[in-house]
Amino acid sequence: MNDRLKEYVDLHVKLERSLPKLPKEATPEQIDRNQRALEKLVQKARATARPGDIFTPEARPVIKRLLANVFGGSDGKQLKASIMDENPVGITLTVNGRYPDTVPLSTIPPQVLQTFPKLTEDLEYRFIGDRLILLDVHAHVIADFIEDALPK
Amino acid sequence: MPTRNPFFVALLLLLILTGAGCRNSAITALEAKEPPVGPTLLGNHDAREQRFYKLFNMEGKLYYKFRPKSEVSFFAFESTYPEPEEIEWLEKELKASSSDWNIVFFHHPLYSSGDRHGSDLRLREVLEPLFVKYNVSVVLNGHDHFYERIKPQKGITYFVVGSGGKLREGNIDRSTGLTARGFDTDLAFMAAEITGTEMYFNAISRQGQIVDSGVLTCRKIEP
Repeated sequence: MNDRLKEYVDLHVKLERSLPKLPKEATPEQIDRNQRALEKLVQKARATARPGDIFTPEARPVIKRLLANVFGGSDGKQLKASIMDENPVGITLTVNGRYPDTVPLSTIPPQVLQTFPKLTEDLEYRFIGDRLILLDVHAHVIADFIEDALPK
Repeated sequence: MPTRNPFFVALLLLLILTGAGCRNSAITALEAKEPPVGPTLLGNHDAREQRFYKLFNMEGKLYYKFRPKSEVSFFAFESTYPEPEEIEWLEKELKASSSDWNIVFFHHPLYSSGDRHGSDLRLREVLEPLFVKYNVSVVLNGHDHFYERIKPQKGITYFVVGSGGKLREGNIDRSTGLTARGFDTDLAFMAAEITGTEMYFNAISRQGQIVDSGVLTCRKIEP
């Protein structure tokens, strides 16, 4: 998974560099335009992306196990509730698709971030429903996701 | 008691703190009126690149410190994605602070009687020990859309001032035992003035009614 992550970040950096540099005091419109341009570039470059490209089949059970450990404690139910706060279920997700604009960013408890592999600032772990997603923060693109990541 | 020359006004800050539905109105307000009186931070409804918005005064940072006067330090903490580095940063900054007043603000409340959200216990587990150890006197939060002053917890006063956004009327659960003063029947903002070791605060409703006021004394832990 680390190699796949590195490949993704390298691509992201390359594509981002190909865009005009934002002025230091960019307007919200300029920032949004830039973000959408990057989104298009990423989607074009990864047109054949599929679930498992980054969260590899080998990595998936490991990640699920890590989450099961974090959520397995006596307060696991409460922790899950904090993640599911304002976190809608039943949203259709596509790898390489845009992060749904109507879905707030789920809170990721510090205990989860202490457990997971560190990401570069281009990427974040988030949850949509009980799916763990890898979010390209600059492009608003879902780079990959794992179904049923949260223990029941 | 009404405050004069409020040292900081929490309204604009908390428009951002409240998140949903407030972002556009906050931007409009900022563009149309005065420049913001203080920096802002992002909530769970805000896209990450908004930290680059000039009017938000964040200079591209998700978390940061500012010190308007030597005796007062503010620490803006990004609470939706609290990576270990950020927690280490906060500890280091709090430890190094020589201000009498250390005030931390972030989106998710460690203490809240919100029926919709309530207290974030996992965040509390990590942050409260730092606040207690390093002399934090006041914590400002949003997320729950009302005004609530929490009874002091381990000597620290917590305010939920999510009352600048879409009101959640009647959302304060009075049975939590946390509420020193709660106001969930109209929008409100909070203004405060710090003079030496005292902080005078008012919470003022949209109608101009003072719904809470008081004076806090800063905590001082001897080294």
